[in-house]
Amino acid sequence: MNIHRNLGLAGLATATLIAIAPVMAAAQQTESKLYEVIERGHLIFGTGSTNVPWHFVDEKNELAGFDVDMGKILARALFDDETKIEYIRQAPDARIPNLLTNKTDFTCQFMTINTARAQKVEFTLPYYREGVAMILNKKGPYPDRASIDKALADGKKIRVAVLQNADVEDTVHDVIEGVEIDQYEEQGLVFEALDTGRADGGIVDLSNVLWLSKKFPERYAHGGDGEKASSYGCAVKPGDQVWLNFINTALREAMNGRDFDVYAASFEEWFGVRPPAPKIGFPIENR
Amino acid sequence: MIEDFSNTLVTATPFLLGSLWFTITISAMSIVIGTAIGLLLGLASAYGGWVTRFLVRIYVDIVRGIPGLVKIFTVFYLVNALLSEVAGFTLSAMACGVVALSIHASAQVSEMARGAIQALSKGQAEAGKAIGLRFWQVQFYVIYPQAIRQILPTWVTSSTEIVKGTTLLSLISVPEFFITIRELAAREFLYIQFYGFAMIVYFLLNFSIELLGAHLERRYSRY
Amino acid sequence: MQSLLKINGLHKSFGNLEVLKGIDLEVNQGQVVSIIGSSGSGKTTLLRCVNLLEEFQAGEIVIEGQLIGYRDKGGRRSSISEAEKARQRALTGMVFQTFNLFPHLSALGNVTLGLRKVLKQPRAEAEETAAHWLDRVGLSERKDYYPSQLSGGQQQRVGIARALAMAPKLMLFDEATSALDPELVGEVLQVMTDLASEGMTMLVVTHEMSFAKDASTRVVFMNEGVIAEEGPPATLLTNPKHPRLQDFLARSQR
Ligand SMILES: Nc1ncnc2c1ncn2[C@@H]1O[C@H](COP(=O)(O)OP(=O)(O)O)[C@@H](O)[C@H]1O
Ligand SMILES: [Mg+2]
Repeated sequence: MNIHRNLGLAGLATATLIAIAPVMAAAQQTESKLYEVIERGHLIFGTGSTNVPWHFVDEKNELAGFDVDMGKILARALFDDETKIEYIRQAPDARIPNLLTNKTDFTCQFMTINTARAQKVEFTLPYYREGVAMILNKKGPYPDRASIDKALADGKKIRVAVLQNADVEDTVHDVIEGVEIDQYEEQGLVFEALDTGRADGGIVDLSNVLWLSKKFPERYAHGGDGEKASSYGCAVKPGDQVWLNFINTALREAMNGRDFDVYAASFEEWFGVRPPAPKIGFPIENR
Repeated sequence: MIEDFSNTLVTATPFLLGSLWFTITISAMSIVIGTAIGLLLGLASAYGGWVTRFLVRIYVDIVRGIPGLVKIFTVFYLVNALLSEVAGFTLSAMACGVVALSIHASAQVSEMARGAIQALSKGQAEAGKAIGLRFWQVQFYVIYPQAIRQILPTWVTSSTEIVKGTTLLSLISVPEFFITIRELAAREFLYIQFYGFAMIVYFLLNFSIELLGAHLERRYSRY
Repeated sequence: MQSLLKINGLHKSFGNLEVLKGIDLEVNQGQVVSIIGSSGSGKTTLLRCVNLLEEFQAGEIVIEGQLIGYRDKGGRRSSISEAEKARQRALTGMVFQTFNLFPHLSALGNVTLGLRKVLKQPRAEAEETAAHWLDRVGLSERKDYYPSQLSGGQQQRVGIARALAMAPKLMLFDEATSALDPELVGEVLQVMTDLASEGMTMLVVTHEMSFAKDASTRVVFMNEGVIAEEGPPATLLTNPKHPRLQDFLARSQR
């Protein structure tokens, strides 16, 4: 099975895109996606299906998770109906190409905001602030951080698994130095590498470590955090300010305004804590 | 954990069957379309003039030189973008998958067919002509049955390649079997169990293709 | 007697190599003409031209008054359609040196293919016709065998039945026995001799002097792409005039 594929999938998809850039330029929008979506009557929303608690398939074969709830917030803002969504279940590599080729109107898929990506797509306001952390296998040879640090001090090789990403090295070194890095295509494969002992630790999002070590206390341990924070944003195809503004308005009002309860309920469901409520008076987003 | 796995398997059975049917449909369509096109291309390169042979050669070399995934991305992004510009419509992800896999299969079959046809002695076609059969009759009743018998084993192998290739289609959002497996594995954190299960299912799928191939081989190998 | 095959000034080249350098030959209804000659003299090529398996550059071939392979357009040759060629090929039946049976079809299948697809006979009728011809060549109890299960002699007899079943005006035999084990030659020659005595018109390339001598009306000696000598077997084989024919016969005596 071809599950350990360190192939530059994103690179491939992007190369395909460069080839079609002229076509895209010709297809300059004259009207906003906002009106197109309203006209169409549903939102085409790109997200993943294989990462709990962000986006995954529940027992009824429906998408659920925090990212999915962001899509529902937008659908409610557009149509006052969170079911008016056509989901495109996509791999992380497909987030940008699918936006640029109009296969999706909008994507929310635990996408870290960085300036390299911002040159290709436009990000919305951040809807979550994430850190990275190390997850360890409690049944493996390194059940806690101390055992890892000792092995490194003894000159042993430690192999960590990480989701293939734009700046993997920085991400890993924020949590731990001096380890070998294996990149995987999908978050699930990172855990699989950890479970099978192919990796001694996994560098994943803090939200994942918290969620997992809570759900499976006998299997996983939290092996330390990084210091850097990164923001998750939704994204749209560049060049449509009307559409972007609309989405931002919807997200901002969900996080800080009238629809706070919806956002807060979702946040609590997936991360176990309720976010701080906006204070009446001075708008907190300006602080 | 075994119990978690079997419970999930039971509740997810309808979805698994649905996506398995998708995988089977896509594979079957790609194999049938790819084989039909491949046989025509093989014929063209076995009998065509040098221009035809050259064009088929280029097609086969290009298709065989491009990795499967790149073919899929090319059809899904590039061909679709051109289509929407030129014709004002786009192909669904599933259609793109079938197109990409059919193209792949057609190049393989084309080479097999050309080789098999050229390997038949000239006397076979001449004996057919001598009793008054026309060109296409010679092909259908004399050349093809022998060529097909010849390419059957390789054709079975390349058909199983197509089934394996469908797993790549999840990358363009086709709801095939393996993505459903990955979704379940991710939700339940039962990676080894679900991937192991997928391995068995794909093995059975390809094993039945091989059985079919063996059956056909037996039918055709009476001579 | 009625002329069945008439060849006038036939020229055939493969690239620069001229293989047939002006052949004139006439075969009447019911005649058996044996062609002898050393290897490379153009015997096979001549038969293949008559069966339209080869194109030729000049001359004409006429079967039953019908111009074969080309159309005469005000003195200029023009080619005919594939369908027309297929129809004309069915006027003659060809028996190949290497049998060329269809290996994927049974003996019966080999014979019925042309009956069903060319003569459009229904399956039952075709099988009946085929069974009749297989019986004629002494293979009625082998009709369901595949070529690989038959001996060389049996295979060649199926090849003869396959050609005969199409009811050709003229049978062409190209060294029908020379790929056979010597002990199997007899059974095939017997079939050919029977055919000859029943009045089938035949053009036979052969190295079997006994057949040429006993079964043919006329013998033709080919040398380097031309007919060097022809005549009744008794005269030509016992009293050859052409020095190359004398050599040839002396060699085949041994
Ligand atoms: N397809 C072909 N291409 C080129 N030369 C050929 C071809 N077929 C036959 N020849 C040549 O034509 C000549 C006559 O061949 P053929 O008719 O087979 O002679 P025969 O049957 O008398 O032995 C030979 O020199 C042979 O090499
Ligand atoms: Mg010869």
